[in-house]
Amino acid sequence: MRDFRTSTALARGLGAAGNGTRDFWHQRVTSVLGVLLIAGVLIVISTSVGADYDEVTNLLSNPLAVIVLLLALLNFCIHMRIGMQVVIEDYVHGPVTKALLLIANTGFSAVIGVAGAAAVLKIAFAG
Amino acid sequence: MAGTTSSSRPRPTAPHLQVYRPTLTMTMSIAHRLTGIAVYIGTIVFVWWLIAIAAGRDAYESFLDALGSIPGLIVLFGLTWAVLHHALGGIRHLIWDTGRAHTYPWREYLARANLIGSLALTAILWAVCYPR
Amino acid sequence: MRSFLPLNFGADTVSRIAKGKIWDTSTGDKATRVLEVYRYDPESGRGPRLDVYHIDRKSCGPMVLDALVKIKNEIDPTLTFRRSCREGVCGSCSMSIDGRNWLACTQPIDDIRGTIRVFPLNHFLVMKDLVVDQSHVIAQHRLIQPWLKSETPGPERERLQSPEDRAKLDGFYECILCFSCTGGCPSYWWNGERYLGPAVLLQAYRWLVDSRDEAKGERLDTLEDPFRLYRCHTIMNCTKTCPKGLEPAKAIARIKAMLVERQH
Repeated sequence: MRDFRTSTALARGLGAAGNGTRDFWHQRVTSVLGVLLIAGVLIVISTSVGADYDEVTNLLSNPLAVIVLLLALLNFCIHMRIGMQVVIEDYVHGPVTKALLLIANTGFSAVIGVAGAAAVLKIAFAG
Repeated sequence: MAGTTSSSRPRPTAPHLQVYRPTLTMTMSIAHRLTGIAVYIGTIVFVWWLIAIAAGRDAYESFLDALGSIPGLIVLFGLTWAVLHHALGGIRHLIWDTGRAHTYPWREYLARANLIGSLALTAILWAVCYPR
Repeated sequence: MRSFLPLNFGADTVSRIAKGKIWDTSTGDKATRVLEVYRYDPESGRGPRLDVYHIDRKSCGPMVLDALVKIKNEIDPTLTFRRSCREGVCGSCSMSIDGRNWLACTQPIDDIRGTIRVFPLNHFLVMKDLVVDQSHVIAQHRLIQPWLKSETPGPERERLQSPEDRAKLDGFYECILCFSCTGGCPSYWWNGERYLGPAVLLQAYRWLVDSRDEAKGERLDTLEDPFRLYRCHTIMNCTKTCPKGLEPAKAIARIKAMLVERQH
């Protein structure tokens, strides 16, 4: 099929969406906080290396560790959702596939965040 | 696309990725994206760790067995590097977002520091933490 | 280092490049330089090909454009390319040379080792040989309204601007719209239909930062879009390949900062 649309029509497309800055800013906020939080998470994980089960549950019941892990899960849940959304938008152009992948992305990020948080809370309060 | 041609044959697209000489910053951009995707998938390991501890002694033991195997250790090592590389890459992007270090040779230094830094930090972290 | 991908990796059927003619005009002289040049004739009914030319460096001017002119004059008059000023101010002869985009008229032959590979500007639609269809980027340039917008009636003489405000345009007004950067941007390769690309965004910034302009908000509204602006992932190919030494990535970073500023 020949495309008879003018170049002006093509360049204007559907117009400006009026957003994008929110995601951009949230990605920057979660990356600055993420650098701090990942340092905390790595400290918690490396402290657990070589420890036996009781020591590990003890460590993860420490309020500071709980706070770091919960904040990290929330932070990364947001960051990874936006990041993967950008990747999908970059390479996937079929509208149905794109919509399905965007939904799956939000779902996966939410499951990771909630499952991780549930486990942390169980260890801390019911361990 | 717009513009008319006398021929019915569509116009060819000029080659791009196939002929572009790889630049350091482009390669590091690809690395940032790939490590991001790796960490995205790697969060499963992280959450698996938490769930295993929450599930009890036996579950934690089998988690440690799986991760302590050779493939498990390779995944863990790769994931350590990916996390650190992506974190340092994030700092690189934050600096560029402020409009700083765009000029030659600073942008190249920053890209190189990203790679060297992530490899060095991974090596240090494993040297310090690897159980003896 | 050359691209690690085969020449036709991922190319669609009409864009696949065949082996072309070898114009063996070699004299066996050490001063002979070899050029591989992308050729496409829309009237041939065939796809693009890569022709090989041999030129005598001693009887050729110093720049790649001189080599192309020499080929056209002495070997193959059908070779088609845009050129005008031959001194880096008109932006006509931008093309892919030795794996980056540059103006053929300011690219010294002797700075390139081995075979000189010349292609049209990356990812643009090819009209003939090295001439590409720029109608889409030009329409995108028009979209950002590259002119002074002011509702206040103009003064009797010129619109005044302090030297400090004028200095803010330095590094941004010099763009000659050769689209070397846009052709070299991977984000533009994947999403060029919607993403405006580095050249157009640099121009957008040039008007955003002009103290005499009264349409800042309106201009930012046009750019506030995940695709038009935010496909820029600071890959930096644009800044590296600009033959005028400008920094499109910096201009784009500043536009993003302006958009954040007006929300917080």
